[in-house]
Amino acid sequence: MAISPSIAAHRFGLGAYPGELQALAADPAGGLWYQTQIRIPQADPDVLRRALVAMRTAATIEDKPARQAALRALFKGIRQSSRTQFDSAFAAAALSATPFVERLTWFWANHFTVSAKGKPRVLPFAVSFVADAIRPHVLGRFADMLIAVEQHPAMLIYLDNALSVGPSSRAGRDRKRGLNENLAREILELHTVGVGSGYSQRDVIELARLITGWTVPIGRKQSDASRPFLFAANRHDPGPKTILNIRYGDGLAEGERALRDLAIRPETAHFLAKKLARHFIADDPPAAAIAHIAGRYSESGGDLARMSQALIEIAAGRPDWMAPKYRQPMDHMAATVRALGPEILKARQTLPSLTQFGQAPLMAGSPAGYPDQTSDWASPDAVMRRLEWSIFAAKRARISLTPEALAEAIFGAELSPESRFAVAGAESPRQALTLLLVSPNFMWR
Amino acid sequence: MLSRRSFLATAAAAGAAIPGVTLARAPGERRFIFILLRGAMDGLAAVPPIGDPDYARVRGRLAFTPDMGALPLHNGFALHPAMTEAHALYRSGELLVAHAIAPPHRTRSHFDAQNILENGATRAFARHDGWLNRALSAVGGNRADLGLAIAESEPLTMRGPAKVAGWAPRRVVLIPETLSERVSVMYSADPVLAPAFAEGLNAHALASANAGSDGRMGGARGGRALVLAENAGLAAEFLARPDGPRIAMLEGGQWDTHAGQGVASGRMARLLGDLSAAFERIKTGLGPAWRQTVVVAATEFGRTARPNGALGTDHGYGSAAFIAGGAVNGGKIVTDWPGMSQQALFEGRDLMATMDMRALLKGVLGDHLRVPRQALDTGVFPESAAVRPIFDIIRH
Repeated sequence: MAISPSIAAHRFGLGAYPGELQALAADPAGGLWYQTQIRIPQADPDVLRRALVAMRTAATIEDKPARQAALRALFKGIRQSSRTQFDSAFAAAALSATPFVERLTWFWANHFTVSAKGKPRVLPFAVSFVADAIRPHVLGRFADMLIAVEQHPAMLIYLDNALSVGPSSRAGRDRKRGLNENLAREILELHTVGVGSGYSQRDVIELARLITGWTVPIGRKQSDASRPFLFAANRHDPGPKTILNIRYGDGLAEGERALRDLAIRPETAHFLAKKLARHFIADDPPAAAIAHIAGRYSESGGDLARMSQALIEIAAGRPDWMAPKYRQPMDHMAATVRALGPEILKARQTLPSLTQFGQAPLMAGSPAGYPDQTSDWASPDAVMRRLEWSIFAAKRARISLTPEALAEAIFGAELSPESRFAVAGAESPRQALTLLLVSPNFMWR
Repeated sequence: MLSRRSFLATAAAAGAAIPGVTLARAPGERRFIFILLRGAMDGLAAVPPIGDPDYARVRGRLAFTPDMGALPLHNGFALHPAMTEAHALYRSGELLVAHAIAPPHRTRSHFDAQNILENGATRAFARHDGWLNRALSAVGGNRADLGLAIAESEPLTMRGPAKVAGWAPRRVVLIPETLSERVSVMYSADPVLAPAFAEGLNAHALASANAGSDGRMGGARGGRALVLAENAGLAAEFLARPDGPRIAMLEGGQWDTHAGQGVASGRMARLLGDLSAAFERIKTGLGPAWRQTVVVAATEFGRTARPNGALGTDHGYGSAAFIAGGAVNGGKIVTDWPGMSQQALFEGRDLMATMDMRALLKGVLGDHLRVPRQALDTGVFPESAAVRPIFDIIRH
């Protein structure tokens, strides 16, 4: 597998720090670069457990005003601490020794978007969502990620399944509460087979019935606080369910079986492959590239490591399938940090900056997440914002290299004549850095 | 920014490129604002049909009761009590309500339905440009600052061949000319960045001219996401200028009320209050130009007629739309009301849509912006000749 240092660093990674291209060039087969990244990190269950315990404690306060005040204080504390923690977390991610895995993590986190926008109660659970449900599985099985995601309290609350009650269940009959289709619809439309793949409203309702009872143990005194997921059997809708012509029965295991069945469907392989190809290969990836990635997924039974490796195979074997990709705001910021160092990030400004760019983490406007094509991010206003941000970043940069040497170090032979000319012809070193940060080389990967 | 002279030159050139389009159809002083309410507004909460015999039973715990102060319209309909400004406009004949309306789709997918509402076609992802951009091409040619999108990223409705300025309100940062010139040169060979930067600089100049001495836009707070009414006020500031844009698009989110949407108060009340204030901010901001203005606020689909288990509503079909402005023949509700009996509901669960969103938009674009019928039937809304525009929305 031979891919160029520039493609490895920029297309599949988070940009380059000075010296990174030389390090990659010393590994000509690219094997080490890839292999050293393949290690599965462990989830940190403590964050989630703390949030859950705090929520449970607050939720059990009998007096309503006191309860609401406690919850408000809890949200405020989490918001504030997430803002400071985010600076270091983002800098650490941007400087990661495993940038390809970081990119895959960001990709899957966006595929399974949870958002606190307009729904602040999602936030306490969302802060650890990526660590709990995404990161452990980015090089594992998609089915495992799917189940971890759909049983995570952030997703159950975000898409309302925590409130869904089977109409014929014990709780449904007693309390006249009903089914909520939201999560089931998005599982089919956004998470697995994809919209337009042939499922019907009937399938949505049947899946919604099948996952009734998948909820969060808040305000339930008898439940086990150490587990963030609760299967409430008294809400589960009894009777047979048929989803995409497969029959399912009652209980938690049947719901998990349905997710495993959905995960290995060819429509899912195609839907995920197309999205991954759009992220790494081209805005409009050729059908052959999608088929190659989907093939690796299907033949491995939904192994995401094999699927990710298919991307590298394409870069090495079929570079003609690839087209330039425009860096999204978060990637542009990460590449800036990787090039100039984390000092350019002002304290507590990472999150507001991403908000200004329209790509704040955990704040996407819909469960579809942030879009992934050039036209979504290269609007006139977005280009102006990037320039404005780069002016500030260049002002804060403290680097020992000259801007020209830095440009050479980051892009090597790929540095375009336009970018080189602009950096060399700037009126000051600071302006040269600004121009480098918005140069076509920096904007496109 | 283009001078009057260069505007005439580019408009004439564009007129030559589009058969049958002449300068006489340029919008002149007429203004149009499209507000896209993303997430599916519950039309039965915004415009409750309190006189419908099945309403109270079907709507259950989300039904307005007489003590909740819903604001009366004609024919047994009412406005949500949070929409006081909109109600005042209705009473003065400057607001028209369309009900049981939807874009041409029945998928209940936000993303498909918004895509259809934005691309103007009958299939999702059938086109990469939007109906409002194509309407812009038909009336204004390539005048770069005729259209304006106030949004975080350029909405599909406004994407296409006609140039559109994009703007999301924030602090205006000074960009030295020595820098912007170098960026322009550096981008000259880049087919994406060159035009985007040129238009961005143009909008930046417009905003710098509008900004106060502290570099902030009127009504905006730097760094904070603004609510719809504040963005509406900003759009009005741009549109009020004699040489400013004439056609603008705004978007508002958070309408996907699956849980705890409230009745007279709560989440829907906040959203609808914001929308109502947006109409008022546009009227105030435009001043005398309001008389030549039409604002359409629409959503991708409605929601289930019955409440769900969480006292919210799930994805449905027919919803309501609002048409406001001094040029509107308002003070009435336009609907072919389908009713709310079990048989009348779409698939037994959603308000039926009896009006195609394109009929409403074609009526407004034709009578207000004078987009020719031929262009409406083929280019703006492809293959829509069978969808007849609704007449009588605009004052004559």
